[in-house]
Amino acid sequence: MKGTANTKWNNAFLGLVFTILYLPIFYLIFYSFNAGGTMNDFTGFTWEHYQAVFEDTRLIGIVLNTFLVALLSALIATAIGTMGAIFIYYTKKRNIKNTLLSLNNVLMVSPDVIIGASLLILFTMLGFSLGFSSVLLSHIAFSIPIVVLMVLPKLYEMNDSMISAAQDLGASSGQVFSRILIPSITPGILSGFFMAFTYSLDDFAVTFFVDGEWLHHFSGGNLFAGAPWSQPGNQCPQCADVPVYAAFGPWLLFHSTVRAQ
Amino acid sequence: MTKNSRAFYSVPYMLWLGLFVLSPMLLILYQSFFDITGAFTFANYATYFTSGNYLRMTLNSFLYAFTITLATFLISYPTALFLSRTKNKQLWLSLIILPTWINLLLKAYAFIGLFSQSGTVNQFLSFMGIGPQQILFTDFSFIFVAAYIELPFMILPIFNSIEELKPSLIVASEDLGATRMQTLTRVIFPLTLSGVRSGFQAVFIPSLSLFMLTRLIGGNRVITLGTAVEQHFLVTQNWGMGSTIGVILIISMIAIMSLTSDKKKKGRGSK
Repeated sequence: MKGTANTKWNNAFLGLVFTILYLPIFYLIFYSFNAGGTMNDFTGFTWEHYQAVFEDTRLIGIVLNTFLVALLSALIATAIGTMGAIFIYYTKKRNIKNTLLSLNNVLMVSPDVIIGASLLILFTMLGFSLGFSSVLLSHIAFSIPIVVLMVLPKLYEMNDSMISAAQDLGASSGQVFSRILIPSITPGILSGFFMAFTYSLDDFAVTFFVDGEWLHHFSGGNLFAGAPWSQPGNQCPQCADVPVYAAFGPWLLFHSTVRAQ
Repeated sequence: MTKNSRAFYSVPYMLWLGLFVLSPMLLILYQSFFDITGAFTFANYATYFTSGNYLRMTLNSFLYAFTITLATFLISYPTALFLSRTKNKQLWLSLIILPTWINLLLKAYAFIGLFSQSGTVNQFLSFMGIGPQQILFTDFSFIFVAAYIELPFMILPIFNSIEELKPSLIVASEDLGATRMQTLTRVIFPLTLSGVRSGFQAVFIPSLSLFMLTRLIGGNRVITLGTAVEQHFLVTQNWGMGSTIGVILIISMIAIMSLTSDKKKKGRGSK
């Protein structure tokens, strides 16, 4: 590359972009240690907000629910999604395969409000009570396409002749499945599981629609929807709560490292 | 693979497709033909297309989404370009992606702290002698925060298309006497349009349907299509009208995707 002056400007621009990208995140983490309890006046270092998180049984309950929903939905979505990926892989007719793939992507590109609203109509029409099970089903529903997209490439990387060889050597279809197919797509299944898990943890929009009476008190992101600014026009009279919520910043950083794997 | 085992694999997946992909989409269309008392009607669509409020809201929603997308693009293109010239580009790229894994609401709360009346930005403005200003709950703050959140989703596809560009084309353009600016506008930009298109889709569609930010950062002054759906479903309980707007949102989404995709390009999930 030529022109050191140019490179300097480029790097300065990139520096600015990175500063803006990370400033709010570190800001949140920084003020979670603020003894003053607000987000604008740092009066001293404290762990008290983190203690408050662990002493607030309602919050702990929400965290446990969040992890339970994430774990169950990721497990079930991984099972169904893996089977779906195998089904798509073995669908030989090209137009059927393409239709399946585009239908698979519908929930990936749909805005959260549409997913939430349409699932709310579905559960109401089926007479399903809103709560844990409707949230779980919704999370399974939007996690399945992610798992399919993670597993499918591994299926295409797999060596097909391995399966033919196993069959020729007299393996039953159960043996082919457990000894050849599953081991060769395990990395895809695992990354699908972790993606599904963190999507579920991170979701608030869909849950916001389908959690009925648990509104604001249920899964992942809804933890934060419960914060005082949910009221319109509120200029933050209860800012003291902020660090309690901000205390979850580091926790979310942790879960982002989980997704990175 | 035998026919039987294929059928076995297909059952749960097809059930999911039918129950959670197809039927919800059909149900939202079905629901849009019912009024608040549950009677069949075309009134929702009539109201939507005759009441100035809904049309103005839709227009506004498009304007906001367009502004957010434009702002994101103006920052993303140089960022992607400069990133592609750095040494450890994969590392820098993953640092661009990392913030997308942090919950949207957490980032919104951080901005409430930064932008509020006695917030850090206003403290700085006061120190400079021009504050405090009303920043939170303005169009500026809404567009800024929305652009902040969508930024990585624009940078990523543009960066990928710049990476796919053959370096020999740039060398050729320089050899033939083009200035750096000419190379950028005549060679690099036209050849990376596919990335810009994917980025446009990945930012514009979620921007149309943003709903929590309009409340937290926009102070309920900004109403997008997504906010209207959410309000009709969860506040006014007028599901018919909410579904009607939902159908409009889906149609706009499909229109934008078919207008902006050249070949087969898929958008991104709105997470």
